[in-house]
Amino acid sequence: MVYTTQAIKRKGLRLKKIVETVKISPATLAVICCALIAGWLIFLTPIHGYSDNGDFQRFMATNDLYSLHQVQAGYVVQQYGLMRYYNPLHLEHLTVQSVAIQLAVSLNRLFYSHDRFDIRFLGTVHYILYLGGVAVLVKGLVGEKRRLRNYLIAASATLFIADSSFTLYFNSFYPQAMTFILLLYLVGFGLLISRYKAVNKWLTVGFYLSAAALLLVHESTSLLIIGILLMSVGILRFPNRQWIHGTAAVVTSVLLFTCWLSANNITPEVQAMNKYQALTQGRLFATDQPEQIAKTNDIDEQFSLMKGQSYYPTAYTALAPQADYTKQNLSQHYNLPWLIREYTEHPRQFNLLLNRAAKNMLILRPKLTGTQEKQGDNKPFQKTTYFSLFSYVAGAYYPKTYGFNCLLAVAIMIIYASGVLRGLRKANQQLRSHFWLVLGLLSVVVLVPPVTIVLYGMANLVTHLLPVAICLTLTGLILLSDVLQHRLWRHSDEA
Amino acid sequence: MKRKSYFGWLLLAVLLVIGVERTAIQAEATDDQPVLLVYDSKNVAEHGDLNLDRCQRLLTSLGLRVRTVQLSQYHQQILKNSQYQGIITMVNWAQSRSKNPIFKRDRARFNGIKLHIGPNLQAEERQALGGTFKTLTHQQLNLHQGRARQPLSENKTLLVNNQLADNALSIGQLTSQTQPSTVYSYGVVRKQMGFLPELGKDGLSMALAGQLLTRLFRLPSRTHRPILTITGITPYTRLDHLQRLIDQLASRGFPFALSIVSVAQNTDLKAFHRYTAVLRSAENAGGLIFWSPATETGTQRLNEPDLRSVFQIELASLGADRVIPVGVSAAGYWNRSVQRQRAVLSQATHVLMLPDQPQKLEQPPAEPESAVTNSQRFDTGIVGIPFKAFETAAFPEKIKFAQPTALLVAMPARQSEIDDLMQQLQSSSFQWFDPVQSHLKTTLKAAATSYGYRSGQYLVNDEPITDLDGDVANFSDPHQRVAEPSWMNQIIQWQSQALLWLFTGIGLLLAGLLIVGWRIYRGKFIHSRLNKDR
Repeated sequence: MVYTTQAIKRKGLRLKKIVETVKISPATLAVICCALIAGWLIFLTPIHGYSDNGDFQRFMATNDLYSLHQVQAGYVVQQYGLMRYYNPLHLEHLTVQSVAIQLAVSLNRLFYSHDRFDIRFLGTVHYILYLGGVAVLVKGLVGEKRRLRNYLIAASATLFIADSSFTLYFNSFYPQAMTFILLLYLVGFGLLISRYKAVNKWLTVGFYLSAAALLLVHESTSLLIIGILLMSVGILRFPNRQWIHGTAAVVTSVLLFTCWLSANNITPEVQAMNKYQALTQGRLFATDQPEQIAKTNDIDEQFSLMKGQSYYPTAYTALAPQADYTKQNLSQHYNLPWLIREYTEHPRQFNLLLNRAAKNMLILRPKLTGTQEKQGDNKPFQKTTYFSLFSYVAGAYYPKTYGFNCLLAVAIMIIYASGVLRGLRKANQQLRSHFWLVLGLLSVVVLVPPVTIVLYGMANLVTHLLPVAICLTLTGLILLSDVLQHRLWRHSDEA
Repeated sequence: MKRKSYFGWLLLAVLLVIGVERTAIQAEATDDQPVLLVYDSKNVAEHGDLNLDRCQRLLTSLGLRVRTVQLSQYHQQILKNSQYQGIITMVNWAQSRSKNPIFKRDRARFNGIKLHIGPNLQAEERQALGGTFKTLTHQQLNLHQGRARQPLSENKTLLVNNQLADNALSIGQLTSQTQPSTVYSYGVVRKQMGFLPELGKDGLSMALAGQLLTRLFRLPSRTHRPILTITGITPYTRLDHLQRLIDQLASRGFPFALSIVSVAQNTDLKAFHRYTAVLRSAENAGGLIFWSPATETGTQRLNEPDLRSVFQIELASLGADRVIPVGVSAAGYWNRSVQRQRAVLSQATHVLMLPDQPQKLEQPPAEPESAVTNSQRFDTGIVGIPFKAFETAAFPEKIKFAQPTALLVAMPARQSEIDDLMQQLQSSSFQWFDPVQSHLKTTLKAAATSYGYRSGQYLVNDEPITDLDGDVANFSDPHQRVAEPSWMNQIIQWQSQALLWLFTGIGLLLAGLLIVGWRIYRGKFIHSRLNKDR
């Protein structure tokens, strides 16, 4: 059968009709899809999730949990022990992550057991929050109208949001789960607010609450402050607003304070770890002649042998990074200004690290983990390929240089800026809000990697750069929806 | 009925077979049989775990295999299933009074060598030892061996033999500092039975324990000179200090050994070659090198193949720089774990056993030890005793070491500490072990390479090395070692860069077009409008 243009048109019309007769809005459809795709993965036994790569201990101990028995690395564990009596470490390090875990623990106590913890309760907490996030985001992207292109946008959004690389985090103690969910809320609320002509109070409160929560997930998410502030400009510059200028100042300072709080909410041990790895997996990592660091400060040249070493070495270490000798002879002899100066003096090496970070940016799964439970004789560190088209394509085909990200950011900003300039006369509020939103997201994409390298080195890149990958993809989704809904080049026919 | 009688015959036959097998086992050389070491408790709060470790290392250095089991874990099968040269009972925690009737009965029946260390001596043991015993509380005691003398550092309750039975032999004496005239015997040996009041951290106490064990197990008695060993040397040690120490030891004629830790990564860096250069200078000065495993970290310990590969990588990188270890030095617990024995320790003829780190009550060990541990023996096992343990001894040069011994000195952290050490060494009049004079021969195998030492001559795969410094690869230019990336990688790298340039190019082009477009637009409309207005 030969498809003529007319035939295609007819077919399109028929599809349109089908879509119009279906009573489910695109947002609801996306939520249902995500619920099915993710629910199957995380709730049905054998469960899927991410296994411990050594980071769980910290989150578990402060939340009254412990491992029931020694587990071989690379397997997901479903059951944990729940402490019944006094725990001296109880909520010692409070983050949004611990709040989620505590919620799961109390649900577990209520419905399941007082001394066993089923990780699926944490999965449930994440799952419910996540579905809300999906609803907010997709509604923000496409609105309520049941049109074919809206369904297309919702489908591509689902492809990204329901990717198993993200949803597997729900059945684990990694903070990335909350980072991901809260970013969906943040951008979703930002988009929803821009759909109204006047400021919607509740949506604005939602936006700022998710922003504050996002800042408090992990010390590295406090770096998202720059993006959040830029996004908030779009909201604070809203016309017909009921608030006065003072509110803007208060909101901004509260956000800044939250950021400061989160950045300082770390134990001295983690602080020492970050400092150590900023040198060994950062400055020393980039260079062929690491002994040259001895030239600009009084560190013994021999410490260049620590190049690439982690603060918690996996097997052997000639000298433990935690030892007093290391502290006295290495850690006390450098600081952040020195690191920054070193990088500015060696831009080529910094560039090398940036590109390396860009290479790792779209690898969304944590290293040294498996996604399956131990069953029979399945091998450890097995990774499921279930619903991971997006992460596979992004990981394999997205260009792996930092410069490309910058150029892409500039290109997208030019598109939006020209759109805004063109729409200026027509007072196109939505596009203007989107401009600030996209600017905020892209500022994260451009600025967070270099700051991460200076502060943390190449250590734990997945935790530190996951927000960047999500921001980049969300930018793509916003751009897609704006293009498909003709807001950028033609008259918006939705307005 | 018939069935029953058949069964009886069968039982008889089985018993006969077992009996024959048993006698066959007994016919084997007795000196290959292990010694069973039964302890009541590790008593971590009072560092009883270190006493146990000391005992195990001492036995290993005397060439005895040791099987260790806790009293509560002891069951009948242990003594039944294999033959033992002797049983050692160690009481670490007198107050606990832990008992195991099965062990008590089995020990009474056992007719090999028996040794009791510590208090709570049982009736039948007392009977076998003869004489009378007395418990000393809160007394300052001096330990004697000939002229050598050392006050016991731990002032604890001690059960001692105050009257020796006939044909019993006393090894070392104890005198009270308040009443010097009363003399108690320290170690007691009578026929197959031995007794030691303690196995403490004092140097003389260790030496006497070694003598007692030699006597009790009827080992050839030899006197060994101690090896002076510097421990805790890592690539991060201040190399100027290490060099200075080596120079001073060499110039004053002290033969010495270094127990060194190396790294498995970054061995292409200049810092690594600096380290090996200093170690080579130690070799040239007559010093021996013992390879020591690095600190174990992480929650999951390495398995045997991984451990072996780390060992081989480190030795290969050291060997390439002509640093040739004569043996392995490791903490005592390495000889209690089968995988560490097989992967590392059994590759060396000479194994220096360092003291364990004290366990902590609040910190459970990362890797629980199995209920029964087996310590293997080596061609030469050397027991490491801290040099400090002899600080309080008078006439230390008179102390006899019945087993190969190394006296351990931690690497000094400061220049002044090096000078202090030199003075201490000068004033102590130990006769140090000289590898060249005593024709030391060692072999250490790592993968296909074997490293050897024959009285001052180093060998790699049995080929003597004439000049240690001569054929070390020239490492002045580290850039030469960087391999060119393969063409495939180059293309992939190039692709990312190319996209970048493409984007920049298109961007510039678009910007250019935009400007042109704007000009045309302005020329067509704005100018014309202006003209119209005019």
